[in-house]
Amino acid sequence: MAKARISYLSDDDKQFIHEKTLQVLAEIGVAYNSPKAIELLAAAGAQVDREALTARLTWDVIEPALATVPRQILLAGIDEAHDVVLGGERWLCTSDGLTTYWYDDLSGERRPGTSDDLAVITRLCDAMPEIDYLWPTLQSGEVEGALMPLAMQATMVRNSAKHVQDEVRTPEMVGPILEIYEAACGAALTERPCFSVTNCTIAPLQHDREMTEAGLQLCKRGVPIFVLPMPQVGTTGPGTVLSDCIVNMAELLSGIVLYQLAQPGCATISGVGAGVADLRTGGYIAAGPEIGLINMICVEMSRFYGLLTQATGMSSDAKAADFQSGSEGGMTALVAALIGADSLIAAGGLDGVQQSSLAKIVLDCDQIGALRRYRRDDPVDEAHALIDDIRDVGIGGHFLGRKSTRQFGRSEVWRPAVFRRGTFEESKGKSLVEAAVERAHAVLAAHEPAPLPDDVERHIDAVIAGYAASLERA
Amino acid sequence: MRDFVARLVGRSGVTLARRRRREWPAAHDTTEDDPGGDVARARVRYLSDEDQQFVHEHAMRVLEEIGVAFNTEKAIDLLEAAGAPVDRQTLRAKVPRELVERCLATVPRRILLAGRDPRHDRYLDDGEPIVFCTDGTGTYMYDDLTGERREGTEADLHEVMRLFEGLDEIDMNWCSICPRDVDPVTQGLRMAAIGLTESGKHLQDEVRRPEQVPAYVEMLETFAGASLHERPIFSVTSCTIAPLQHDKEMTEAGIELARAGVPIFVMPMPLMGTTGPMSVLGCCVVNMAELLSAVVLFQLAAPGSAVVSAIGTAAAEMRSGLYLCGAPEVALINTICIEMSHFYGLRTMGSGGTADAKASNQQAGAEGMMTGLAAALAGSECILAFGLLDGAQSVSLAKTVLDCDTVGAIRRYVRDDPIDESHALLDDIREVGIGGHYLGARSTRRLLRQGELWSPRVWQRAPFESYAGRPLVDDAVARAREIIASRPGTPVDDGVLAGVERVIASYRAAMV
Repeated sequence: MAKARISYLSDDDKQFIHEKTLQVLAEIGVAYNSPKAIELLAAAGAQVDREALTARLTWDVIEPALATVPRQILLAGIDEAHDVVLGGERWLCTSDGLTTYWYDDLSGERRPGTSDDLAVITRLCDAMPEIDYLWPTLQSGEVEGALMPLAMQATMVRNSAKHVQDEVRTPEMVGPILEIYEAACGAALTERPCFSVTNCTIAPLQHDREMTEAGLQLCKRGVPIFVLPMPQVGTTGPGTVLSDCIVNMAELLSGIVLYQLAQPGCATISGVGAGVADLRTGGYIAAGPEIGLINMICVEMSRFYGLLTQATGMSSDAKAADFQSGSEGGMTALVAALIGADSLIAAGGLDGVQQSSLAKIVLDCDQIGALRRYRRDDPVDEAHALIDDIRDVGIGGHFLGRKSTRQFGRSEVWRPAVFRRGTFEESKGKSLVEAAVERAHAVLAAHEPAPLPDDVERHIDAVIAGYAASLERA
Repeated sequence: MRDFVARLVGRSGVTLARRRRREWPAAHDTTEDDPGGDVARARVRYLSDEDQQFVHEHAMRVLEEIGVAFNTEKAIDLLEAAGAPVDRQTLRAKVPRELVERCLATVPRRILLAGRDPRHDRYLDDGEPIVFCTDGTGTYMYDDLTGERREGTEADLHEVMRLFEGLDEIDMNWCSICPRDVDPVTQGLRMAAIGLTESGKHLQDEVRRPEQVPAYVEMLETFAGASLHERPIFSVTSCTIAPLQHDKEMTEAGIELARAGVPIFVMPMPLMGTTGPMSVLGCCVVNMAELLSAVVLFQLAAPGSAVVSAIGTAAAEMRSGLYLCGAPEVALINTICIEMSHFYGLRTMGSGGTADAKASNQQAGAEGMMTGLAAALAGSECILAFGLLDGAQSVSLAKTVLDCDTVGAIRRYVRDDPIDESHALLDDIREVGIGGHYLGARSTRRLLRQGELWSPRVWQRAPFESYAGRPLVDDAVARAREIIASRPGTPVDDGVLAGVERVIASYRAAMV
């Protein structure tokens, strides 16, 4: 079978980066900012500072932790028909998030997102077969800040039967959020992990106390944890792609070790979030060749450590679903696909992941389709090379009437849903974005996720009300 | 098979070991005194060694058992003299693999693509940067602002070539738009003259008829001020006709051009499902057979002449039969044919950049990046990259400008990046430590200046509000117009221009 794969780092390169990563962890260390984390690390033999809440890690602490990380991870759907396996046969794609604005593709205007917007986009992503699991794409801006995370989870499970991945920022939210998911899927997360989390470290070399302590609970409840460092070259990360990746890997390993110590064998995954800052504005750059390079280095190094990966993909700095969004999203996504990332953060965001749009999601799905075709394993044999047809047609004939042309037409040549391929005249009068928006509405009109049972709906409402009451008491 | 490769390698004077170090899957030049010290380079490897053998064996069998229609006695004479079995009635020949091996051994590995202005000279060779070329040849000019299109004119060609001259990301040119309002008798010559007048970059085009060749050579040498052997400021694409045929007139022209020092870019174009089998792999077998048949021909006609493998094989949109250039299958075809061309020791021109999209939209960006990046990752020495939409039917100023940012991103991405202490910045990481920041670090400023982070020229990265809803295409058109108005490039001497006009006029008089 032939498959397009990139190989970037030599064995010597990987060893070099590994040694530098270990140097960072052993000589500088990491601030866990959590006494609970520090106790776990101290018990495992790490050198800790209980005042500063920092720890230095050496390979004799890291290596045993890596050995307990599972090599395949179930990301269960709310409905088991949408179960997917990370590290399995299928290359997985998720929607991106969390954006602030809803972007109107037709008017070019944007406004803060709402729960209704999140519901619409979630239903759309639920319907698109190219998307395997979901991030909440757009924040519910009208919901009070403290309640927003729970409200968003409720919106997700009410509008999609697919697996959901999000952040859990405080330990107090763990119980209510997991209760929502366990009610929705009707089973404990240890059995059916229909929810996973991104756990973002704070560059350089720090963990967020509350998110980390939430993570310590989540790993015991069966929730897969995608550790997502985000050092940005030139600001929170040093000034080269290579050195930024070293900081990424150091933060990543510090997170993996912590959760394996807390719950050996829990599902932990390398999420690649290292990026680049615009040094004029300090702003986040979502896409660019350096992101592609960072994806490659961090995915290869994660695999060196035996870790599954989720790479950064199609989100763009473009302000609309335009040429730039296709090109820059296309680069990072293609690289992630070819370097062998197990999953890709794909359908998604514009303007540095600040805004979401219907057209972008629909058009990204065509890009995902093209990528899946390009990275597919293809047999190299006479049957697939159609050698007999080449002989039979010979010099100057044609292949139009051949049985193989009909037989292989569908499997050999990918067909887009929206990308234009007919004549120029056929496309006139409607731009690609208009066609994409039209498709989004058609999909939404035809797709209605199965409603949750009434008792589950009531349970979810009660969980949110209970959490709101607890906040008032506090 | 190893003997086959070893003979090629031995003839070129490069040892197999050193050659392999430059080949796939990973080429690493280790500097002994710098720990790490490697240079990491992103490359795709698609075919295993066994897969490459498979494709090679079947391409050889096609040539030996089915053969190729050369359609010209001149070619048949050359092949017969070289020992190939020929059929003079059908003007077909079967090409033994020994003859293929022999001819591949005389193809040069380092190929100069000279510019009229020597500052624009480019080389196809190991260690040279990728040469990015504009695409062509479109029938229509697409108006990015109205969405309308019309047939191209001479004035359009002047503007387009001026734009190409002014865009640094473009290394060499095709005459991307075919003007409908020029004298059809002298059209090709006129287009080349405009291309070389408005731009000092290397020019490539088709030459369709052998009787045009003397006029071309004289005109080009007038522009170059030297023989084309010495200053090959022009190259040709020579398209075979799938399956397994050569165009008589273009081939006869190619023979004369090769003898005159003009590099020939052989471009097979079987389309999956119509003129090629409905299989990526099968079309690549046909591509390689047609390519090698042309390499043999031009090496027999002019041993040591510059021949390049250009990949035009693609898919067809089965309802309309239209050429699809932005499909993922085209990216795969590029990957396979570039790998196989390298297997044979040939330099390559991959197809990238051109889109099936009807406008410079997300589809255009996505398609161009996929095919362009795939070709770059496969190690293509030259890539067609700029400007065309709608299956290469329409030229767009906005797309040309936007493609430059795609190419800039690709260049940054495939650049060799050191994996060493000086780039690992451990000292900075120690100094900043936990919770600091790197903004003030001297290394940050130094490395920015050295190009660690790429910046686009037109793509929008500033805050949303700063664009006030202004579409990207508008910015791209504005930049194009600005460049065109600035009339970039070095002017051509009046005497040279007068000489060129005399050549064209003489040719016309002779033809009419």
